[in-house]
Order: sequence, then structure tokens, then C-alpha cells
Amino acid sequence: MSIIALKVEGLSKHFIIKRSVFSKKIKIDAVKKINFVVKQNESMGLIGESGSGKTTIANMLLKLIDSSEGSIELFGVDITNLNGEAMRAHRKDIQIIFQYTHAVLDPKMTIEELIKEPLVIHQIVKEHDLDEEVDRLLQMVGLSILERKKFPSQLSGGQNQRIIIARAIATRAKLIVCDEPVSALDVSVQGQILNLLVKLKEELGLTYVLITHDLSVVKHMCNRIAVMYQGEIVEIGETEKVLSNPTNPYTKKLIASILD
Amino acid sequence: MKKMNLPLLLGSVVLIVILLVMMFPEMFVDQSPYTIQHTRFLHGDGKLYIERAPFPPAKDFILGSDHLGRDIYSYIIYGTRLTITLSVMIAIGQFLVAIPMALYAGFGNRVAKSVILQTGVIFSAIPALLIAIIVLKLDFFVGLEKQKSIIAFIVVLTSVSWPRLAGLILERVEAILTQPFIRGEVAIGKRYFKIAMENVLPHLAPEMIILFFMEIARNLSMMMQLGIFAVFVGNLGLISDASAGIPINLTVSFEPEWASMLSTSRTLISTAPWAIIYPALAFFISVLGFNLFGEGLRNTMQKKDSRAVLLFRKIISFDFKYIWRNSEKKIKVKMAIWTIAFTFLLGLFTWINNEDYSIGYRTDSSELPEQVVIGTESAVKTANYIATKMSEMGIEPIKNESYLMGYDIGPSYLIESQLLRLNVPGTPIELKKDSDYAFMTSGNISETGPIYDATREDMFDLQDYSQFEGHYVLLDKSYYNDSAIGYFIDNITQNVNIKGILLIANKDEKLENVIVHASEELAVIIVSREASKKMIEYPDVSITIETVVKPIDSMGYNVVGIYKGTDKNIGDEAIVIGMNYNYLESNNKEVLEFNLKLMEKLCGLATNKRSIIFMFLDGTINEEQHGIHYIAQDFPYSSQKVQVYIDLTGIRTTEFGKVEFSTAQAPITRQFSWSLGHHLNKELNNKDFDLQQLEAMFINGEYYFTGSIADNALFWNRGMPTIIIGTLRAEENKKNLEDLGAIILEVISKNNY
Repeated sequence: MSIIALKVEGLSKHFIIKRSVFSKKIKIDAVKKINFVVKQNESMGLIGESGSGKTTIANMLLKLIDSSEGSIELFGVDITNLNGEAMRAHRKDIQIIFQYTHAVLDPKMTIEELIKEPLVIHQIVKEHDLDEEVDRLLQMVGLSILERKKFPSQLSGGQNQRIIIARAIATRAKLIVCDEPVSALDVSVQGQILNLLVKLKEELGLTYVLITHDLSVVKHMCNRIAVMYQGEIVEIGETEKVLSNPTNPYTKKLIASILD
Repeated sequence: MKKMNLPLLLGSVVLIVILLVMMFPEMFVDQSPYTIQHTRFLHGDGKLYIERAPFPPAKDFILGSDHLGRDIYSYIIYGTRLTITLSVMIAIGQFLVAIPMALYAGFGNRVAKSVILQTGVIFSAIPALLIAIIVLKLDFFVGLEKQKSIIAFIVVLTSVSWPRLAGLILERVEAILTQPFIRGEVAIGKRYFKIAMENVLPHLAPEMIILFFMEIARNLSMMMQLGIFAVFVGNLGLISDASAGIPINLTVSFEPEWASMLSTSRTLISTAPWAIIYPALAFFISVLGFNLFGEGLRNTMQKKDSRAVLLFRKIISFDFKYIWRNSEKKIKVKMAIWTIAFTFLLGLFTWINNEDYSIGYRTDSSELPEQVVIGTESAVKTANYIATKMSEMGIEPIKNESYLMGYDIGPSYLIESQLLRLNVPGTPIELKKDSDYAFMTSGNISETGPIYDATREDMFDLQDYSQFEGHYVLLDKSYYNDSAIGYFIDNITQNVNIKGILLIANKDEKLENVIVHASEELAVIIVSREASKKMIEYPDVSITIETVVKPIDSMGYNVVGIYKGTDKNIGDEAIVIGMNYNYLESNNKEVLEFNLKLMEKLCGLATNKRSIIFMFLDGTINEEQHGIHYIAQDFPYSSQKVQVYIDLTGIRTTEFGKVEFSTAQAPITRQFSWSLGHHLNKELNNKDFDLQQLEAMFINGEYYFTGSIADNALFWNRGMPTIIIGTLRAEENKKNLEDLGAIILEVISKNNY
């Protein structure tokens, strides 16, 4: 019986917008009461169009923003209401790989510093083993150890994404949320990064929550899939089942659009 | 070709000059900024012109003088230190408040944010300058002494100007915090504090450094504006200028500082524009310098040079080990070269700067006798020796072609042995000489007699002296002045036959005596207050006196000479220096050597515009025979021409713990002496001398030193402003004459330009 890595129940997020002192409050539901479970060693795909609330979910899972309702359970621990120090202890279990942009890594830090950071913060290795560990991580994500002294601006997008992956696995995270990990990269690089993610999953026994709008990525990576539409999960199940036999009209439309 | 960074270059030149001026002001001027010269006399075409300050720029005053006759150039140079330090301190204060507040606010602290925004709103409605003026004009702030005034200035100016800066920083912090990488750092589990230090600050740093220099420039111009409104830091003295017969009260700072110059001279803009233009120019140049430097830094920092930031982050997280290990060899070499260059430059300046004011007095003492006492052969010999030295140094006699000025001290004895015993019931008490008692008048006496306590009698009213017959009469010196006591003694001795007079000493009076007035019948003895208590304690107690004396020559010799000033206008004015040449113990020969050497060095100064009169005074061991009384009776030079009398007769030991110092008799109305005294006081404090003020009484608007009549002689008899410097022994005698002499020499040199 496999362990449940992540359990989300009734998770909601709404933003309240007030345009001016006189106008009425407008409530916008970004995420509406979603439920899903991710088992260990599983890859769960969250798929949907832009604005369907995928990234909001990612931010809530990482506690980068607070949720409005519902609960998040990480390896059996309810982290919904954890804050500050209490949350920091759990951060090493759950990590995120952001969509690549030019400033997703601090441009004023060297690669070495960036990779050392999680190791030092969570005291993963002893101080005198730090350098060795950085080398090992760099090699694991397929980078040369010669890149250590460089700055993110001196590397390509694909290389930077590898650094981000290295930072995520440095904490020995069991669950990694990948938020559009390849969408901003060259098509030629996309495959390499996805293959790296698959390889690491096998080597380290990782669990992924993969957020994307790209069905082919989901097909390649995930064994389960949840389709999101306007903040709700409209369909969830085994990837092949959902793709071959969609029940929801939106899912049908989505699959049809890709097949065209 | 690489484009040169002109603003940075110009800015650093100005900044380096400012730094050097701050560190070595003496390098750039050889005049004292404290010297006040209100009126000066010029000879020309056989006429005498009298000029009053402010003097226009000329050879004597390169940039002119202000209305007190202070040299503007040296004032600006010396003022750099305080002015620039102040502006830098205010800038540091602003950043110390603004950065943490902005960071707090940036990370979502509502209180910090609203404080920044609200105070910003307030200060944009009411100008910060106005608030600073109103606050700093309060009597409380105006009356503060220098140190406190500086702190108050920094606090007030910091608190009115930080919100604007914090607003600027907050904007930047918020911009940085919206960058995607901050989200990544949070996700990885980094603390907010660490994010602020390691991620936010490095992005902020280049701009902060630029802003810092800009803020310094801003503060300088704020101080300039405050100066125009008569708000400035430093000693606010109330000078009473009575030279025209009408007392005028002025608020003047005696602390060299630019803003105060603007303030004190602001009324002179039409009559003496130089007094205000040059300080303003100093402000202008330094504001420009700091701004250019900031601008230049901005140009450099905008280029991608992230190594510096890496270093910066390591510095703020105190990881010095890392810096050393990981900095490349090239950087290490570069750093080493810079350090060496800077040290070399500093060393060079210290070396150039090191003007030799040392005295170096321990040369040869062999020619001097073991003991010099007035009236003995040793005194005459030493006086002649000093006279020879004077003529060697180019010092001329003032009167009758002779350096020696003899005076009659009356028939006197040198005491060879002395004893004073208190015959109390039980064991008699033998009093200690020089601490319990000292003879003033005596002969060869060996007698015993009872004491009559006359301390409760009113001596002025007393007509019948018969009860004194055959007694030693005890009088309290603190009740009567010296001439009154003389009158009583005359009266008593004419009417009745007494054995002697016991005088209770004044507080702090020195009981030391080797010379006494000759008298075979009557003994006059000064006793300490403690000893007198024992005498009163036992009624009808008797005392025994035994003394052996040797007659001495009744002549004392002061050695006086003048070293003529070089300036044709003020050469007649004189600085008088009084020193002693008597001593009892052979190790005090060195004091005389020191005095002679000091004289030599003073004559050897590059410029001596005013004359210096040297007086070696005889009889300085006791008050009674002190040569200064006779000099005061018959001063060989025009007293009006004497600018200041510096009394060094109190210098008695080569090693000492405290310096006895007083400028109470150099009032501010006698500007030259006041400014010289002020300068001396400052230098002595700078060199960590422990100063002890002489006790002085305020009589009829002037001070009278109660400790010694000799200290008052020239001021009260001749009206010469007097500065007194002496040595005092303490538990620890760490200070030596060499250092004291260097200060005296330097101050006189800088004031006699």
C-alpha cells in the first residue's frame, strides 16, 4: 500500500477586489473547493488553460500564499495553518520548480551560492562536505562543475532550469511541484529537461505535481491527471483513461484542440 | 578606448583633498584659527594707521579675516574636520534609521510603513529645514556645550531628514521584493531576515552607496542654510565687545566650522564680502565633490561587475574567512597595492606634517649648581649664566644694557636647621617642616613660650594688647589680607613684647621656606590649618622653637631680556614669559635646563612677529622674595604693549601628574590672550593632560587667585592678562615636561605669526 504524499481537501482561494472606496467589493474565486490525492512515487498532472487557477494551487501548496478554505496535508501533516518557523521545517519536504524567467534565480548570486543555500538552511550536509555536495548535485542535473563560479546571467535558460532543479533536490525533497517547468524554454531543450525530471524521479523516488497547459508533457510524464477549468477540477483519473475516454465536455474540447 | 569616468575622477580628487585637510589641518596652515586680532597698527609714510577687523585679503590674511580678526583661511581649513564629519554622521544616522525601517515596511510591517509614509507627508508639508531651525533655535540647544551640541545636531537633523530617504529606499525594496527569485528563496525555506540581508541588500547596495554620498552633499547644503539662519554647532560664546565704550553682545562660535562662519559674518556681506564668500565656496566645492563622486559611482556601478556585490554580501554576513579564501589572486594583489599606497601616502603626510616642536632639554646640566637659592652665590652665578645664554641667542637687555635686574629683599637668613615642638601633656608633638609649618621671619632662636589664641578676637577693634605679652599670638590669615596682618604685627610689637606670631595658612597655600626675614627677637611662622587645630585643642599649651640660620646677601636678581619681533607693525607688542631659576634639589636642574631650552626654541621659531620678553625670576621658592613683585613694581617695558603674560614659574618638576592651568586672568576682552589661552586649553585637552584650575575669587569683575599673591602680580598691578601653567604632583606622575613644552612652543608659534 503506497503512502499518501499529498492530500488536498476543499481547497479554495478567493481574492477580494475593491476598485475604489465607493465601489462594491467584488469576490473573485481563483480556486473553488478542489480535492485530490497524490500518492508517493506518483506523478500527478494538473492541466488547464491560462487563468484556470493552476499556479494559484502551486503557490498555496508551497504556502507562498495563504488559502481561503480547505486543508493541505503533506505526508500526513496538516500544513494549512502552519506559519513561519513551523512551516520552514516542512519546506525541505516540498519544493517547487518555477516556470523559467530571467530573474527566477537571484542574478547577483553565483551558482555555487545558490546551490549551497538550501544545503546550509536545512543543514543537509556538514560544512566541510559542502563543496563536494555542490559538485555532486551539479553532476546529477547534468551540469559541469566548472559553472560553479558563474552567475545565472552567464548561463542559458536550460542550464538555469537545471540549477533550479538542483536546488529543489538539494533539500532531499520528496514532493516537487513543477509549475510549467519547460514552457518558456526552447523546444529542443524541453525534452532534455523532461527527461532529466523522469530520470531523477526514478533515481530519487520523487513525487511530482506537474502543472502545465501542455497535454504532451502530461502524457510523457504523468500517470494521473486532473483537468482544471475556471478554478475547478472537472475531471480526474488515470492519464490514459482520461485522455482516451474523456467524460467532461471541456476535457473533450481540450483533447480535440491538441489533436487538431 | 575606454571612456574616462570624469565625475568619479573629479569627485575623488575633491574627496581626497578634503580627507587630507581633515586629517592634517596643520599641513595647510601655520596660523592658529583661534587667534583673535581685533585691531592692528600699521606704520606707513611715517604715520601710524589703526585698522579694525574685518581685514581684507592680503599677505597676512590670505582670504581676509572676519570681524573679530580671525583668519578665514585657517578657520576654513580647521573647520573642515567638524563640518564634514557632521554631515557624514548625519548621513550615517539617516541610513541607520531609514534602511531597517524601509526593510521592515517592505516585508509587510504596517506600522513601519505608515510611519515612513506619514512622516514623509508631514515633512513634505512643513519643510524639514524649518523644523530644524525651530528646534535647534531653542535655548536648550543653543546653550549646549560642544559635544552635546554635536549629538543634538545629528539627532535633530537625522530625524527630520530620514523619512524622505526611507521613502526612496522603500520604493526600491518593494520593487526588489516583487522579483520572482524572492519567491524562490521563500520556497526554499530562507528566513526573511536572511533574505533581507543576502538578497535584498546586495541589490540595494549600489544605489545606497550612491545615495550616501548624495545625502552627505545634501546635508552639507542643509547645514549651510541653517548657518545662514544662525543655527550651527559648537560653543556659543557671548562676547562682550567693549572696545568702543559700548558693550555689544554677539553670538559667536569659537569652534572652527563653516556654517558658523556664514552665520557670524552674514551681516558683513556688503562691507566684507570675503568673510562670507569663502566659507560659502568651501561648502560649494565639497557639495560638488560629494555629488560628483556619487554620480561617478553610479556610472561605474551600473556596469555589470557582480564580484563587488559578492564581496559586499560576504562582508555584511561577516564571512571574512570566505572572502580571503575565495578572492582571486589578482584582487588580493590589487588590495595589497592599494593598502600600501594609502599607508605610504599617510606616512608621507605624517612625515611632512611632523613639525618639530620638541624641546629636548636633558642635555648638559654640569654647568649648573646643585642648588640655586636667592641671595647666595649660586643665584648670582646662575643669573650670569642665563644672561650669557640670552646674549648668545640674540636676546637683548631691556634696561640699562644689563640683563640682570637686582632688587633688595631686605636682611635675610638662610635656614640651616629648624624645629617646632608642641608641648602638649604627655609626649610633645614635633611638627613637620614644610608641611605643618614654615618660618617667615626668624633669627638664631631657641625659646619656649605659651600660645595666645587670637583667632576669635577682632583685631581691628582691639586696642589693648596686654594679654599678648610673652605669648606666641595665633592669627588666622583667611580673615585678613596681607597688609592688614602687617599692620597688626607692627601695632602689637610697638605696644607689647611678644615672642612671635603664628599665622594659620590659607587653603592650598604652599608651606615651603628656606629664606626668612632676619629678626633676632620675633619669629613669624605660618602653620597649617591641621597643626593649628592641635594648638587650639589644648588651652595654654606652649611651643618650643629652635632655629639655626646663616645670613645671606640681601639682593635678588631677575634676568630679563627681549627677543625683538620681526613685524614692523606689531613688532612692539610683546608676549611675556616668566620662568623660575631657583631650585633646592639637584634633580630640578632639569627644569632650568628646560626653561633655557624653551627660550632657545622660541627664539628659533620661523616667525616671531611680536616680541617675546623672557623673565627668569629669582626667589621663586617663596612668596616673600619672589622676583615678580619687584618686576611688577618696576616693569621695564610698556605694559600696554604686553599682549599676554605666560607664567611658567609653577613648573617645578620634570615629571608630574596634573597641570595647573588657568586662563581666568586672560578675559575675552583681551582677545589675543584669550585666544592663546583657548588654544592652549584645547591642545592640553587633546594631549590628555589632566588639568586643574587654580582657585580664583571674583572681585570687581576680575579674578583673583587666592593661592598665591605672585600669580596675581602682573595682572593686578600692571593689567597684563595672565595665563598660568604649572606642574602638580599626583599619585601617578606619567606626564613629562617634553610634551608640555611641545604644546607651549607650538601654541606660541601658531599665535605669533
